[in-house]
Amino acid sequence: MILRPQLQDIKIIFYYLGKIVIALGFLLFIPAIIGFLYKEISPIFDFLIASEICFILGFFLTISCRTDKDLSWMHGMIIVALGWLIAMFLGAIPLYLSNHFTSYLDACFETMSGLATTGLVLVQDLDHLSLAHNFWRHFIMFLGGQGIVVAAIAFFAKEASGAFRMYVGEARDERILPNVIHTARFIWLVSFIYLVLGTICLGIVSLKIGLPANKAFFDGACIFMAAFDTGGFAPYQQNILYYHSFAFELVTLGFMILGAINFNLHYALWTGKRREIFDNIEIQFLSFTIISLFALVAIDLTRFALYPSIDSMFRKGFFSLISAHTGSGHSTLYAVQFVKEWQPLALIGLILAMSIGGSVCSTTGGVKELRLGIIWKGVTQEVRRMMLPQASNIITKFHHLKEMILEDSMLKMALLVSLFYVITFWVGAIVGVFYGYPLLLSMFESVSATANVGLSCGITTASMPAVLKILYILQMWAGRLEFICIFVLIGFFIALIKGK
Amino acid sequence: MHPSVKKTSNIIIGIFVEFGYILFIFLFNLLIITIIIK
Repeated sequence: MILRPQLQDIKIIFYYLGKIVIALGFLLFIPAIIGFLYKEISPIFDFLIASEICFILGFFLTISCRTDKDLSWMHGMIIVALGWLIAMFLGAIPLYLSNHFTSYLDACFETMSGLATTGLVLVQDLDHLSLAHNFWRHFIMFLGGQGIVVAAIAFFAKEASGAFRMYVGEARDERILPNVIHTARFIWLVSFIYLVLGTICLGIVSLKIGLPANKAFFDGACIFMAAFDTGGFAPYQQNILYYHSFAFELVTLGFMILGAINFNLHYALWTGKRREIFDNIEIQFLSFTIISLFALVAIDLTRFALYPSIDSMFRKGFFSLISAHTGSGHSTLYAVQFVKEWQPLALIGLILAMSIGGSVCSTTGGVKELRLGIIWKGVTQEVRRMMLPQASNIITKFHHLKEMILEDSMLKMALLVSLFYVITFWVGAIVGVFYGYPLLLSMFESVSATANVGLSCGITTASMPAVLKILYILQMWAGRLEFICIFVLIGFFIALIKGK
Repeated sequence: MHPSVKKTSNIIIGIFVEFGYILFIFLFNLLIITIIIK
């Protein structure tokens, strides 16, 4: 028997959604300030209008649904799932008002692509977009990478009660510190330290290549937010190719890899546990998959003499592989080059890299290295079980921040989430084929959307079918939140209709 | 050592360790490129 949710449940959900919407209203002031600093009058009003809508909606929800009840797991999951959708609809308002999108759906696509740190773009004439709007595109990436709810907890929560349930819903199942508010603040501390470091590094390189100081550091901040949060947006249509600088690409590569590292590992390394960089199963698997998949891609690219020099292979082949593997989606190639120049084996290498992704509790998408490691350990455990006498007690250990024993529940969860990813990859690919795109390219774009990568082989354009746009939005949303809270949301709606 | 100095130096060393790992990835893959191209 399914229990129908009570009015109290709905009030709790909308009360917390109201709080998130108010927080978004405050965050919309930041690009308005950027507009003010760069003397862009019209964009300021776009952000003030969106902010006002957030405040009206947020205060209406919090006042009309005021409650003192604690959150249950179900509430936390539903708040996160709906919170991301509402953030998309509201965050898209200033982008739509910029007149750089052909429809509100395109603005929503761009916003979800930013929030989910995907990096697929539908904006028109990006090179002439105002700095305030451009900052907002990158800022939502910074926000979504760390997590909208994590941001709300870090800056607006006063007590940890209920916050952990929303924190977990946002695909962050590992707590760094005992208190979830402290955990959220640590995640933002790491991000801010690297934001300063990244903006300075990229700003200096931009100055060296001839950009004026105000643009150099603006671009530095934007590219850092997109690289560290493995998003992939850039202030220009040509993405990283615009800068034509090896040094710029090298620094961006470094921040993309940093973004793929678990926040827990940052904490361990920053608190003196330096051996963790050698022992951690995620780092071991990340190194192995980067090296082996790049070897595969490099062999295929060399076979067809696409990049004959070490310099071009590093700047095109290696950059694309790291961009795919970390889920960044930054590019030093035009989308059409993947279709016209890259051969199927190299594309398969990129698809595999995109689908694996980086570490859990990082800003990357995809199946993730820890799950891959757990599945691998599970396979070796089963092989040992077959080979040893029946009475043997087989214990499999692995190191992830501490010595851990492989449990069936871990294996089950890793397999389930991986299965959901694979199913979603195929659903997107099949719909792409239905609309007439080749299977390999459809799979490439579908994996790119679901694993929140953002590399494109040219399917994602403003002229693509609306159904495909909506599907990619859903894939980006589900992929970023790692499915579980989406299923809870679906279960909630079923219970509302069929429950007793 | 004062706790705050120790904390800051740990963070700086931690950041260097992370950049060391990135350097390892760069160099190893440069080696792969060199082997494959040559």
